[in-house]
Amino acid sequence: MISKRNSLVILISILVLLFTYIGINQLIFREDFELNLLNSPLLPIPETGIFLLSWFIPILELLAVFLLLWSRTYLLGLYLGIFLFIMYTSYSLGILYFASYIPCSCGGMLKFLSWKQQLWVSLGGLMIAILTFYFNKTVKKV
Amino acid sequence: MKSKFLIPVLAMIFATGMSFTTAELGKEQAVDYIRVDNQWMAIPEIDCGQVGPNNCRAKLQDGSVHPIYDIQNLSSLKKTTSTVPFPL
Repeated sequence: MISKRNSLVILISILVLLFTYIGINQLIFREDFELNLLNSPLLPIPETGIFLLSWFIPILELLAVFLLLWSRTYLLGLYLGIFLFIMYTSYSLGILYFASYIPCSCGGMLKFLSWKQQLWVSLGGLMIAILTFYFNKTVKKV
Repeated sequence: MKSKFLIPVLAMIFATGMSFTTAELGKEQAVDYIRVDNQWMAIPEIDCGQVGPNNCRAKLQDGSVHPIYDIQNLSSLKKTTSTVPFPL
């Protein structure tokens, strides 16, 4: 049987895997990401702001990865991860149900997924992050 | 206890490798473009069918219709025989 401590390590690994993959992909396709943020009906902010955001979001994701990797900072990384997944979920919900038009999903979290799929992935990620938080409470120290 | 963090580190290395591998595939994924509010908007590539005299157009969910471009250039309009806009 998997101990709670091992479950915590597995859950952290899943979060690290997700954020590394998403962050590096957004950096590789940063120009596409910026263009799609510009086209977003939910972000009526100036081009400079979008440019900064297109760097800030993937850097924040990779920061979450590095925080999750160290025993002293992983709780902070977990909070950041939960925050990011809440943002992704809200954004996907906004695009799907409140936006005046639905832009190309290539500007989202994972460009090859549709907005509905992105919503499910972000919800899944949020559940994993919350579960990690729960296991962190029950396991005293990793 | 630090050995417990070996698995997340391995996960990070694995995800880094996977990102670069799938990025190569992603580059091949074609997109088309439309102009919305004087700005380029990427859309999934639309199969406009046989090339004809009409402009290939996309219909957004808000009902607006826009010509489709191959690249971010106003002279790269896609042509089709169809007169019906393609829904997005």
